[in-house]
Formats: sequence, C-alpha cells, structure tokens
Amino acid sequence: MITFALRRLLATVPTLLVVTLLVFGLVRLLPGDPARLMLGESANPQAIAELRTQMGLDRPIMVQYGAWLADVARLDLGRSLVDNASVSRIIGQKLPTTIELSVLSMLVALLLAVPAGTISAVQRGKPLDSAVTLFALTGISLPNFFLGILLIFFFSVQLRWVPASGYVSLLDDPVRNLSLMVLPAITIGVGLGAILTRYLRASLLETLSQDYVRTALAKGVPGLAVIARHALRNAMIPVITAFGLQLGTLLGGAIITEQIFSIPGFGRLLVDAVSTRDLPVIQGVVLVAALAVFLVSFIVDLLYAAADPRITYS
Amino acid sequence: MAPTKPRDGDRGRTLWARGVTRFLRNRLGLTGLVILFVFAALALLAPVISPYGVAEVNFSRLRAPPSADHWLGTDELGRDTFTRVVYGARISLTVGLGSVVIALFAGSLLGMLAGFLGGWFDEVVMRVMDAMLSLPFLVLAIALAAILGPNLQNPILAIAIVSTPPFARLTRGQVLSEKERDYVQASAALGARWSRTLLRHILPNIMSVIIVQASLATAIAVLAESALSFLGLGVQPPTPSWGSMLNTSRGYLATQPWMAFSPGIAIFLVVLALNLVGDGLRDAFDPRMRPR
Amino acid sequence: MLRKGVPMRRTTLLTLAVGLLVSGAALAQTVTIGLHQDPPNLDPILSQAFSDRSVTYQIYDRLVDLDENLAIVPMLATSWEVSDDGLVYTLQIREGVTFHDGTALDAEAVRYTLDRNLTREGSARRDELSSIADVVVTGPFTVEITLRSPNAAFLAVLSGNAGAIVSPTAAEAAGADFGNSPVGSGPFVFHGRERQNHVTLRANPDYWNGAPAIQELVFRPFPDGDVRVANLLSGGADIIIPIEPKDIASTQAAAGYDVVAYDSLGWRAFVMNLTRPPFDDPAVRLAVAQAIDRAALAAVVYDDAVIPLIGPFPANTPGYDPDLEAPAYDPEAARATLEAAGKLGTEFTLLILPHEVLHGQFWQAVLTQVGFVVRIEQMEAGPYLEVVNNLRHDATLVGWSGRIDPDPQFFPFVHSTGNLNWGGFNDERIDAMLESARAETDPATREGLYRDVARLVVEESMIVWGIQNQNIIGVSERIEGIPLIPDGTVRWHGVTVR
Repeated sequence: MITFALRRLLATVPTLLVVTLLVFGLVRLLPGDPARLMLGESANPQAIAELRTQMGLDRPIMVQYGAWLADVARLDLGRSLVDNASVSRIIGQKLPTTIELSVLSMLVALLLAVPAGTISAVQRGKPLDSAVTLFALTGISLPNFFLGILLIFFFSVQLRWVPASGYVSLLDDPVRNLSLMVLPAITIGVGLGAILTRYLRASLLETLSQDYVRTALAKGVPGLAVIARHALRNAMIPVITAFGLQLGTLLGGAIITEQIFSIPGFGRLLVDAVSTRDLPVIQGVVLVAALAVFLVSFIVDLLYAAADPRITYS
Repeated sequence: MAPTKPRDGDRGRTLWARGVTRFLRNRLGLTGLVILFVFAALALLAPVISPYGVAEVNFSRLRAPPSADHWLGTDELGRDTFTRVVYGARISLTVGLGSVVIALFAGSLLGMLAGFLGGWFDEVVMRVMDAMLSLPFLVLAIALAAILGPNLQNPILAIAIVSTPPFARLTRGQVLSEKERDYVQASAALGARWSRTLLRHILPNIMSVIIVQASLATAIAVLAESALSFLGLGVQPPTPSWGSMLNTSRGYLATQPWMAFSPGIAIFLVVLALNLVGDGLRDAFDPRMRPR
Repeated sequence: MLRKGVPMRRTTLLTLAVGLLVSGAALAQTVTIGLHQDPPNLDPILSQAFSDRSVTYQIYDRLVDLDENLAIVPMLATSWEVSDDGLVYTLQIREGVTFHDGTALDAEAVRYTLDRNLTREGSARRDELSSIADVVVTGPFTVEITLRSPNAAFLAVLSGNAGAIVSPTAAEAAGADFGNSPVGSGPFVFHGRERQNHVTLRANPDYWNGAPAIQELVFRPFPDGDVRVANLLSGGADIIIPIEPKDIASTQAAAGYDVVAYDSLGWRAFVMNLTRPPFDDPAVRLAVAQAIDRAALAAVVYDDAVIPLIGPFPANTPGYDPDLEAPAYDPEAARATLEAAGKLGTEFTLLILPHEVLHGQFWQAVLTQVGFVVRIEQMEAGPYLEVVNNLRHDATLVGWSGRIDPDPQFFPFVHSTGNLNWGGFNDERIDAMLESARAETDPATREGLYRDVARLVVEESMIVWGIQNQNIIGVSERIEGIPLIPDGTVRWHGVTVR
C-alpha cells in the first residue's frame, strides 16, 4: 500500500509542477509593470527601477519562478498589497472558517443525498423516483446565490429565525456560530446534495443488481437490512470519489455564499482581493485552492484503492 | 430482405438518426428544448418585443410591483424589468454558448490530437489539462475575469478557458477507445492520412458524446456567467445581466422582494432547460450511460 | 435623548461627556458597531478613510475637539493663545494625562506627534499641517507652534487625525507597525483586531475625563448595506454607521430601533476635467448644470436621505451662501445649449467608484436624455486615484466627507495646487481669493471671499454640485447620549446603554 501511495505521488508531481506554473503565470497576465502598479504612475523612474530589482523583476522569468517556488515551499506566499500582512497568515486565519463551512455543507449534502438517492433507486420508475429526480435537477439548476437570497428572505427577514449574516468564531460562541452557519451550509449543501443524489442513485442501482444482493434478498434478508448493510456501503465508494472531485464545487459555492452571508472566510478573501487587485493574495488563494483540490483528489484516490482491492495494483 | 447491418465506421450516422428520434420522444428533454427556444427567441427578438427601452428610466415608477404596464415590475431607476430580463437573456446566452463553443473546439481539438498522436504531445497536453482541472472552476474563472477586466468578452474567455479541459479529456478518452476499432486499423492499413481518419471517421462517431458534454457545459457556463456578473465582473451597467440584477435585488429584499425573483427564476429556467436537454441527449444517444 | 420614530428631522443633543461618571456601572456592556468597511488604518499618519475615525477617535485624544455647532472646544489643549500676526500658537497641554502604556502625556509627546505627522514617510497628514514652520516645547506642558503664514483653519485641523496625540514610546517601538498596536490616551484602549472581522476596544479606567460607561466597543465591517441593517435588527449590532437610505423606513418601523439623521459636512458633485474636451467648453458644462434635477437625484438615488445642494458649503456650515444661484433645472434648455454649441451627441466617459453605481447610472440616464452619450467606467480606489490625480478622466462623481473649516472644505478642489484638484483648476482669480482668505483674520471678510469663489465656480459650472449628505445612523433605542457632531464620527465616551 505504501509503495502504491508513493508511486502515485511521484506520478502526480509533474502535474503539481504545472499547477504551480499556471498559478505563477496567472498573475503575470496582468498588463503593466507590478512595480509601477505598487508605486503609482507619478513615482520617479529611479524608485520604480529600485523596486523592480528589489522584487526581483529584472531577473529572467524562469529564475523568478524558481525563487517564487522556493518561497512557496517555505510557506511564504508574499505580502498583501493592501496592508502588508503576510498572505500565508491571512489565509491561515481564514481557512478554518471555510473548512467549517465546507464540513457543515457536506453534512447537509449527505443528509439530503443518502435518503433521496436511496429512495430514488429503490423506487425506480415509480412516482417517488421522478419526484426525487426532479428535485435533484432543481438543486443543480438553481443558482446557489439565488437560493441564499431566498433563504435570507424567508428565514431571516420574514421569520426572523436566524440572524442574516455575520460570523462568530466556533470557539467563542458555538451556539451562535452554528446558528449563523445554518443558512450558508444549506445554500451550498443543497446544490452539492443534488449532485450526489444522482451519483448515489446510479451507483446504488448498479449495486442492487449485483448477484450477492439478489442472493441476500432471495435468502429472505429484509430489504432494508440489505440496503443498509451491503448495498449502501458498496454504492458509497463511487460517491465518495465524487465527493472528492466536488471540492472544487464546494469552494466555488463558498466564494459566493461567504459574500452573501458576510462570512470572513477563504472564499470571501478572493472576492475582496479581486476588488482591490491585491495580486499576491489572489495568487496565494488560487494556489492554496488548487493544492487543496489536488490533495483531496490524491487522498480519495488512495481511499478508493484501499476500499476496492481490485484496482490497487493496476 | 433483411436490413443490412451498418458498417462499423458508419455507425455514427445511424446512431445520430436513432438518437435524435429517441430524444424527441423524451418528454423532459423536449420540455427543456422548448424552454431554450423560448429564451432564444426572446433574446433574438428583444428589440422587437420589449415594451420599453432597456435603459429607459422613469423616476416616478421606482421599484414598482408587477402590473399591467410593467409585467415584472420596475427596477431601482424605474426601468422595466421585463425588458431588462429579455435583454439579459442575450448576455447569458451569448456568454454561455460563446464560451462553450470556444471550449468545445479548443478542447476537442486538443483531445483528439492527444489521443490520436499519443507520445510526448499527449503527455504534455494531458498534464496541463489535469493541472487546470485542479484549479477549482469558479476560483479560476473569478481570478481570470478579475485580471482581464470586467466587460462582455472577458468572461467568455475566462469561462472558455476553464471549460476546455473536460472536453479535452472526454475527447481523448473517446479517441483512445475508437483507435482500437477495426475501421481505424483498416483505414491506417490502407494508407489514409491520419487527419482524414480523424475527421471523416472518428469524429462523427464521438460527436454524440461531445454534444452531450456541450449541453451540460453550457448549463455550467450560464451559471458561471451569472456568478461573475453577480460579483461585478461581467458587463457593466446599464447593460442588464441576470446576475447583476440579482445582486442589486439583495438590497431591496425586505421591501421589494419581487426584484430578486425575475432574474433568479430566469437563470434557473435556462439552466434547468440545459440540464434537461443534456440528460435527454445522454439518454437518447448512449444507453450505456443512462442511469436507468 | 434620542427621540423615537421621528422621521428624518434633525435631532440636537447636548454632549454628556463632561462629568459623566460610571453611574451605570452595573450595566457593564459591550456595544457592537456596524461600519460600512473594515477600518484600513489605525495609525493617524496613515489613516485616510472615514471608517478609521470611528475607531481612532476613541483610542486617541486630539488637541481640540468639536461640539455639535462645530465650535472648537478644548481636549488635550486646555487653552490656547494666538499671536497678533496669526503666526504663533501657544497651547497649554492638560496635566495628569497618561497614555494606555502608562507613560505620561506632556508637551514633548505633542511635539513628537506633530513632528511624526510632518516627517514620517508616507504621512497623509503632511498636507494639512503644511503651514507649520516649527514646533517648540517651551515648558513641560506648553507647546509653541509657529506657522509659515497665517492660517485661520489651523485649529480646526487639530481637531482631526492631525491632532491625535500618540504615545512616543509606543510609536518608536512599533515603527511602521504602529497601526496594528495603537496606543493613545483616549477613553478606550485597543484590545485586538482581526481583519474583515472585528476591531475591539476596552474601556480605559484611568481616563482623565472619567472612565466610560461602556466596557467594550466592538467594530464590525458590513460592506453590504442590507447585511448591515439585518444585523442591527437581529441584534448582531447595536448601531450601524451609516444606514442605507432604503432601510430607513423599515428600521424606524421596527420596535426598539431608531434612525437618527443629522447635519453632515459632506457633499457629492459631478466633477469635470476642465483641461480637455468636452468639458473645457463652458457651454457643455452649462448643459450638464441645466440637465440635473437635484430633487430627483435625492429621491431616486438616496431615498430623500440627502438634501439638494448647489455649492460647496452645505447649509449650517461656514461659507454657506443662501443667495447663491445655479442654472435652473431645464432639460429642454440643456438640449438647446448643446445644439447651439454644435455639441449635440457629445460622448464622454463617467468614471466612478464601485459603490456609486446607482448614482452613476442616474447621471448617465439624465445626461443621455438631453443629448449626451455617456459611458460608465468603474474603477477601484487605487487605480481610480491614479487616473483622477493625473487628469486622465473626462468626468467623475466625487463624494466628499467634508471639513469643518471652509478652507480645507473647498481649497483642495479648486486651487491650482490643491491635492484633490480633479477638475484641473488653474484660475488666477480663484487662487488669489483662496490665498487671501486663508490669511484673513476678520471672519466676515473671510466668509465673503469664500462666497465669491463659490459664486464664480457655480456661475461657470466648473463643478456641478448635486446633494449634501446627512449623517444617518440606525441605532438601538437602548443607547443614549450619542453626540451628534457634524463631522460624522461618534465619540463614545459619554454614551450609556440602558
């Protein structure tokens, strides 16, 4: 297993390098000179030239890339153009918030997808199946910012059940923190849940038609037990894979949701950095996001291999 | 006389015919298609069917509720919401379709070449595609749109770039499996140029898969466009776009909630329609892929 | 006392600052204040945003303060004398004041602060204090400031960030990072902050004017107006500064909440680049002035939370001229003006900051109707300043928070050396009048000069003013004693919570 993991890791290194290359190049796309941008048009040419040397902009592009890569390896992601704070530190502060939101969203998604997917598969072809399928389609077609707005409208403005927005750290005030996270988690979770419902349905249908399931049913094992103990567990494997691949969707959903609900997380950081053209922060956020997706895909790959011995040594 | 079995290489063309017929019998898919036609018609005929000018302000009718004069009400400057929704359809459909068309061509071309030629070209292209797939869709789209600047074209480019890798991977996979088939081997044995094999034979056979992906990608693209304009990264005022209309509506939620419903439902319907069509196409063209 | 449910009338209030003790000590509380942005800088030499002041005015004392009538009152300077030639200001500094780090506040601390404001790299206070020639400590609690030339606005400047006294020990130790650990002598001590989340201050028990009744102030940023008001109404914030005009009605209707509107010094105007076409042509500018319906602007864009304004000095501020006249609103005349000048169909780009989108669209709609072709371009603050400072724009919308004295209120915009001269003004008449007004000691003559300049600018439509702001806050009715000072910053020292 270890050798497998190591071999897979080595295989992904080239892709990882390309990821870093893409992120590095992303910011260089901006027309104009970063030093001029920082000092302003009216700054004298000598000051600009000095800053360029200081920023290392006069070195060949590959050397710059190498230096940047070395910095990244040391977890130094540069400094924000707005307030000179360390980008790594800012990201470190905001990331846990988004992780919490992501975890809660995944819970919501699972709470929706598992029952819905199961019912849909078991009741295949019948009205309940169509209903669930339609709900799932609605879930993936509804823009999550629209859903967020609707939720705010009904639950905060009209019913006043939960506050509309804001954030309190989980450590400071768990109850308030969770009450503030409910609507955002639902906003993201519904879309994610809809996607997972479809996956689970397909996967479960496949599993239910397997011989061992038919055998169990024939032997008289109650249907629910069969589903719970055998079918579901095996059907979940592709779903977990899908989960991992949906991290990108989660992050995308978090960006807009954090904006609507005023949550100071990682996603919101991107939007704020974009509006102030804070390039180091934009770069840092994109890089960390990419690495996160990369890491999760990798772990999911390993879990998949661990769960399904057939593919380990392929 | 028994119907002749279609030759392997012509499989594509008959698959088309059967697929299209099957699709037309799928009620949900058909509904989706109808909805799309309606919106496309609205978008194309916008100047003709709009009761008001798209930038026509009316300071005495601010944020009015739906009425006989203004079917969907008015916005914060007294402009007719129905008119702006209809014009917004132009933006959504242009960006959505435009970006997917670019991604489709670029991605499919890359994927076909990579799959067919193999070797280092395949390695390099696929590494880059994999790397791009690691960058979360919306994160990358936002970063690109921000760096390029907010207008009409840049979101098309940004979304196109982000949508290319799925097409590339899909096409490459299809080409790889087609490569093993007899008609391809035969064609190569007969000395046909690889480009001819690729274009005249392989392409029609994998077209259906690409089309399914295209419709699903368009759904994602329309959602992405509205997300970008929601964040202020798309067309600039006074040009209406559903996403920015939705963003503006947030401020008036307590007093004029209907301002949010029109653009939100519009986005929802178009994306739903695209998903229905995509599902329908998938069911129709490739029974193996059907969730059953 | 704040009055309940009074729609939009100006409410006056006496400051309860002096002599208010901790009578309500049993009500140890935290007050959460919702701002429209996360205060960027808490170091007085770097601070340029209005939101900074909400925080810095609690951390630092200033040499002088303002009351609700914009009169200058003592704060750290207990008394002052001005020499006859108007060049030397002798300030007596309050004794017995200590900074939050325990060090004593004396004349040397004042000298250090002023020197820091003038000499530090990147100080935003240099312009305001540019008339200072020298600062000398002439006694443990006496400071002598000598100006280069008489400046009637000088004391008013010391009521702002330029007069906020910092602890020399702390400032030296922290260097460029002082903004992240600010130390002053004010009624509240900096406790901590997390960017985009909160800034927290705790009461200073040893404050020279008595410890504040409120124990803790938490400032939270809510850039979205609707999120801000939602937090107010749900208890997430006790007061929001400012409240968006569209939320005024619903907040006043809500039980337990009030909306208070009071005079402000600020205004919004349509500023044109006079140095190049199309606005180098007076006829084109006149057309703009004739096209604007200020009442509609106030109603449509600001829900009548603002008041139409035709000149640079809002009502109830020095320099205000009730007899000032601007071209009347007449769209047909505007179109005729353009036609006569052969400029019908003139195209230009209106540059705006992102939060002015509705305002910009209003002007676009209005000017389009009289025959202009207007394109809107949004730009973030950084690039925006680059463009306007270098006069590369056609026209822009300016929102000015206002200054107490007519000189800093108007000079920067229309003097050829003004640092906010985004119209490209270079008029000898205006320069001469403003310079003599600066040195003029007789208040009546001084006021006359400012009125003359205003008349000139308005007659030639060199700037078209739209509206004057009001300070509008949404607040829980439990909060009492908020001083309504027109500079828009709440001083929390004397405020209590029921």
